[in-house]
Amino acid sequence: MKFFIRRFFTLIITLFFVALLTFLAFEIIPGDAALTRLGIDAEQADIEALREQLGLNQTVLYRFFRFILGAVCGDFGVSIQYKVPVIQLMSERLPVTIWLAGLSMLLILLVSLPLSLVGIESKNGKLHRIITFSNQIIMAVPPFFLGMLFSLIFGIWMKLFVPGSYPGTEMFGKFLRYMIFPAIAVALPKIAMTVNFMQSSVLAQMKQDYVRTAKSKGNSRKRILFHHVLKNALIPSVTFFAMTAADVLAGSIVVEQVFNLPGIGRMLITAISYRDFPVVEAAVLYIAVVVILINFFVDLAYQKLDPRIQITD
Amino acid sequence: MTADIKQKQQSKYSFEQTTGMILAGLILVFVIVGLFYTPYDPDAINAALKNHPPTLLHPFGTDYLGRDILSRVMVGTKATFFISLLTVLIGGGIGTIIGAVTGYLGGFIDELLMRINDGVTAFPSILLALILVGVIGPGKYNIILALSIIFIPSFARIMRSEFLVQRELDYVRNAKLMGAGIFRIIFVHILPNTKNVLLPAFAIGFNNAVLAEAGMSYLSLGVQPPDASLGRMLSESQSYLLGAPWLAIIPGIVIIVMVLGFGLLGRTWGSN
Repeated sequence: MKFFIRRFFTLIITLFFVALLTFLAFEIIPGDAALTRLGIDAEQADIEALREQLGLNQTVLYRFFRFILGAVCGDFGVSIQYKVPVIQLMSERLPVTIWLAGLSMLLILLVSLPLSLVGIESKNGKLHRIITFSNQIIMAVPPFFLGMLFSLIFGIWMKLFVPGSYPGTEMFGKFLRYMIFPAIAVALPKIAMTVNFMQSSVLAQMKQDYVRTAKSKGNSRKRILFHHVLKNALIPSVTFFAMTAADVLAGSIVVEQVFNLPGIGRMLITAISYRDFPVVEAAVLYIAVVVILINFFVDLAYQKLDPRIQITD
Repeated sequence: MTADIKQKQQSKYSFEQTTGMILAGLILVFVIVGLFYTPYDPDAINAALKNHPPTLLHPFGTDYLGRDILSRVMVGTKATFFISLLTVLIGGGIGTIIGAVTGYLGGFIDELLMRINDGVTAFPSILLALILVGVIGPGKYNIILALSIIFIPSFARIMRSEFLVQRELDYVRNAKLMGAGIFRIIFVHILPNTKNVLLPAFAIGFNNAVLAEAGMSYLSLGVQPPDASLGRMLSESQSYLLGAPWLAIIPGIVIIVMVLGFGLLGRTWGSN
């Protein structure tokens, strides 16, 4: 419990600092938000009115607390480009990104766990070396290029889907059939990475004393692997999965562009090019909060799995 | 006798080492030749030869404006290579200095920097790059700046843990007794001994930089047109996947060869 309270306290402080940094970052950008919104030809009176309305005449401290309060209540202001509240844009695009990242994560878990046990029995054998080397190759492929290759092979040549024609969420079957390709494109390099990590984790455990003890008691290699080693090898993997989850989120953002998916990533990238700061601010804050929350929950899970971790650090 | 040992060392190169050296060598040749010579002007538009498949005159074909892809790939590889190299040298250099000094001295600043580090390293590099570019705006130099900043924490962390171990070793105590100053101990005595950790870290950093730069340029936030970059070529090729798939496949393969080659090399540096 003490551990939980400590972690929770750190979480709140981290979130506060992330909000502060985001706010300050957009504070130091040169240029007047009111001027940017109305254009250079605007009347001085209009600019003054908008400045008043946006609260730009208030002190920095006042605006920071307004920003925090707005963020907590889900009010991020109005998009310069689309002239609609940012929260509306976000809530339209969020499901797409969640589906993509969720599907990819599911694929990673389903494929990489069984795959990491293949070839592990013969640690210097041919199969192990082939798997390690092909993992190296797959890890070198950028996810967006993988997405383009999928569009070419499965979309244009095999006609399994039409590249760039996102079907929307209404027809769920069609939606899922389209989403599976970007999900694989995001997942594949991460699967290679996870398999590599899991295998070295299992091999490291195999050298531990308790394995020798188990062997001398007459356990078979298989039994040692599944009953003794796997449990311990999974513990470091938990932190690794947190990193993977954050990576998957980042990968989804880029791959959305390849498959023309209307998610948070595409919104962020268009907003950056248009200098649509309320949207950028909201998206950045949102992504940061998700990454921090993932790490928070993984820390908690980690402590549950491995009682050796104490609150000392 | 010495020849014998040399012979043995040479045959020690594993399959992975050899592949890594060949692939990285190919890229280096590409970059170095691209500094002085390209078969065609990479920006020269040729309306008569739009989206032409590979021929003897244009071994990689031409793009949607009739530009020679081989020349553009050479220039693009050069851009990606130097952006990534600069990034990893600047970010890695600053990170190494911070990690070395804080790891050696310890204390409050060390604690503070490591907490900040924990927060930053939780974010994937391309995500941080996106966030930074969102603030400072797109462009070639902004990408170098953004990516360099991003690489500082991971290098600082690696170097710090190395220095924590090394500072307790006898040779450091010896140097201290001989009256060597802090900076001499850190940079002349300890730093060379961390090369088994530092070199692979630079290789991995370089790879991450290549992937991040390609990603950012693909999203049109990095190198701006008409300059060629591997990521940009990929995003420009996407509308022509149906008729001219080589536009996408060739720059993509170059990225893979680059990342794989230097990745395999980095692994060998680590195991030696």
